[in-house]
Amino acid sequence: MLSSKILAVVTFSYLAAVIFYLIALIFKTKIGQRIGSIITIGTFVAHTAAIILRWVESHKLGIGHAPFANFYESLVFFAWAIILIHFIAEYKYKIAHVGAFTVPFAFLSLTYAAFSPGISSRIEPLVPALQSNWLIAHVITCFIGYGAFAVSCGLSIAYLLKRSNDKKDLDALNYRMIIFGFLFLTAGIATGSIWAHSAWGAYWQWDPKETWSLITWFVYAIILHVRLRGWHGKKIALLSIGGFLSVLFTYFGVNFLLSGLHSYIN
Amino acid sequence: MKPENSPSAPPEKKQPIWKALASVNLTIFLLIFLAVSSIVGTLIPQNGPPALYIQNYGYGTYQFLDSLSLLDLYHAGWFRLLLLLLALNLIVCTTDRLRHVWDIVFPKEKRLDEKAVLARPGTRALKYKANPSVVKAALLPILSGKLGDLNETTAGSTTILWREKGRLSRLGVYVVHLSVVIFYIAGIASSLGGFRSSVNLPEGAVAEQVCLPNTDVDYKLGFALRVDKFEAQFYPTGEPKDYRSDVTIIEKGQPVLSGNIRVNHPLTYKGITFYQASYGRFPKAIELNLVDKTSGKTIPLSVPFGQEAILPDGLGTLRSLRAEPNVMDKGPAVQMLLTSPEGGQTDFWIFKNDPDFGRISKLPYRFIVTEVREGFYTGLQVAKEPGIPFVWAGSILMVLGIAVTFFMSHRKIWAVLEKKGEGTTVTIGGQTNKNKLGLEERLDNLYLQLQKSDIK
Ligand code: HEM
Repeated sequence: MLSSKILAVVTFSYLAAVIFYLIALIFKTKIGQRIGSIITIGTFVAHTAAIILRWVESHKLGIGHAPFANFYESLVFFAWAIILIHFIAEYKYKIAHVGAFTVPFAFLSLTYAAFSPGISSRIEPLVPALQSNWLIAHVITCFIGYGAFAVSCGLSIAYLLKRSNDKKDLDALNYRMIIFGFLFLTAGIATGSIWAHSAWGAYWQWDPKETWSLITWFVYAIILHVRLRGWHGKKIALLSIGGFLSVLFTYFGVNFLLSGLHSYIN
Repeated sequence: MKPENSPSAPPEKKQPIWKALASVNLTIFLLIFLAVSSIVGTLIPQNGPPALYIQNYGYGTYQFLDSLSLLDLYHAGWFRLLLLLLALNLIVCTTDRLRHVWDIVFPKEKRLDEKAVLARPGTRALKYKANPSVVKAALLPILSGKLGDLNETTAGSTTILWREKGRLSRLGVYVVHLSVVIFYIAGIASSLGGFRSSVNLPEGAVAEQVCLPNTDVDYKLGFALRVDKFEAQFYPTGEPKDYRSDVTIIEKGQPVLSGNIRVNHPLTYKGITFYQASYGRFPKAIELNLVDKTSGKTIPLSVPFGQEAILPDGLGTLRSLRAEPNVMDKGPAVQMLLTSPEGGQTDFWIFKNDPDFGRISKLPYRFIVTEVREGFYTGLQVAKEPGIPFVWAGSILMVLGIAVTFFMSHRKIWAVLEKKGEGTTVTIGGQTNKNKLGLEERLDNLYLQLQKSDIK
């Protein structure tokens, strides 16, 4: 499958971008930063093309559906969402060296998708429960939210590592990423629950995946409210890393450690 | 530390309980408590049979967990109490602040706190040779934007031109809080006025009532649902493609609606919704050949499942008890119950692939199973969820409210014009209730624009 081959190349060129970003960070070279950015943009274009191509390929196989149907496809889209949101931090808010902290997440997600033995990159037909437009709305909103939380986690790590005193912008952007992620996580839970209602007849059943998404949502709601108590900087950074661990558990841990309706893997 | 620009309740005399219920600290505490409890609920399997817990944890632990309602945690009284407290906290906190925020959002007159502005006008300053009134005239077209008209405040010899936007966005948070309350209403509406149940219906069967789970009560639908046909389709790979039940709704003996129920495409009639949930096969009838042991004559006999068939020659009746796909590794077999004319009963198995194994020799026939006719039953989930419109409303409001919180802010942008000798200094500055980065970006742009303009 051509799309899988492109994605293999995409994975490694994100790694290349990370290396250049790190060189820029460690040796304080502008040129490393520049090269890292160019590679990331080029790779993102290829990444987008691969996702579209996979969609086309599924239609050629006669089982056409948006490429959000299995674990492999979700990891590919997760990586895509991370890079998309990374661009906001890099270009809109011009946070220097942010790529060294955000692009690695995309690389790891794609590496996991490609190399984990339990994950099949085959294009699979949609089972009846997934045959719904809500699938698309649900996956897109959830993963944009997760992407924002990943970027926020990267910004938090950058915040904790940075020694200079001028870290206000990093903190401010980090907080904005959290609200942005919260917006999409909320939309993700809402679309999921409306979909669950049309598929199973119940909009909330306390199934482990649902519950963990709610726990993650609580964690970020807590961050939003402790901020009102005046917490900022390091404390928010640590909480945001904690929030992202909760995201990772919702995404991976629940599938492997707890059982429920949602597992892509059986 | 108090965050800037965050309105806090005016210092009035308040009841301690009211104060406690209005505090954000309580919110944080409740959210942490809810998060931790929910985690516990995902680690201990919920609503399992007691035997499972006793086996895994031991009897003492089981009793302990059960006494804390940790085995049905999300429906436990204390969990609901926490949710209720959060709702109270939310309502009290919101009413407490809303009065104050209302005054900011809908002020009697437009105002600028000039003292505060003059104390910290900003860092972006420009010097002009012309006098303030000339500079002001030149600035006007640049400063007035599409949103919010330009206001002017004078304080002594200084003039402040200012613009304000996004006052309404301060209400975004309260829309989010309101939507949380709407979710509570959804939950209450569904648990008071709704029900959920499931039925397995063979093709041809009619349901007029469903059994409510955990009770002996039957819920009368008020109409009947007949399953005409069930169909399961599969992809070439063997994965399921479609499950479909064709059904007819019958009211007062008349068919009123025909439709189908598929996964993700439920059917709703009079507020009750039917979902495709599962399916299965069941034996419909067992087709036998009775071969006369002496003459070799063959008589076909169909034994409908669960009913009796009469044997020829007054030898009694035959009832089918079970049909199994594999018995004793000898393949499919059916279990029959023979009732003799005198009333004596014997049951026996007939193996499809080996009709002479374990046969009954008393009767003058050999039994040969020619076919086990199977039909489908469809498993339908039947539910009434009056909370759904609230779930929709709550979802939309919450997403909109957070979007407003994220994308919009209440900002003031100003230019302070001061006479300096013959010329004028202009200082650009602003104030916002959130997204300071966005404001700085906006001010940078404005500053650049002014630098590029040809004002002298
Ligand atoms: C699960 C329930 C809740 C959710 C989803 C929620 C959500 C939010 C959001 C998104 C914000 C905006 C944050 C920001 O602008 O940075 C906010 C602000 C706020 N929340 Fe909540 N909240 C919840 C419960 C509560 C409760 C129970 C209280 C009661 C004390 C509360 C008090 C506040 C206050 C005082 C603000 C700041 C308002 C302002 O900026 O004027 N929240 N909330």
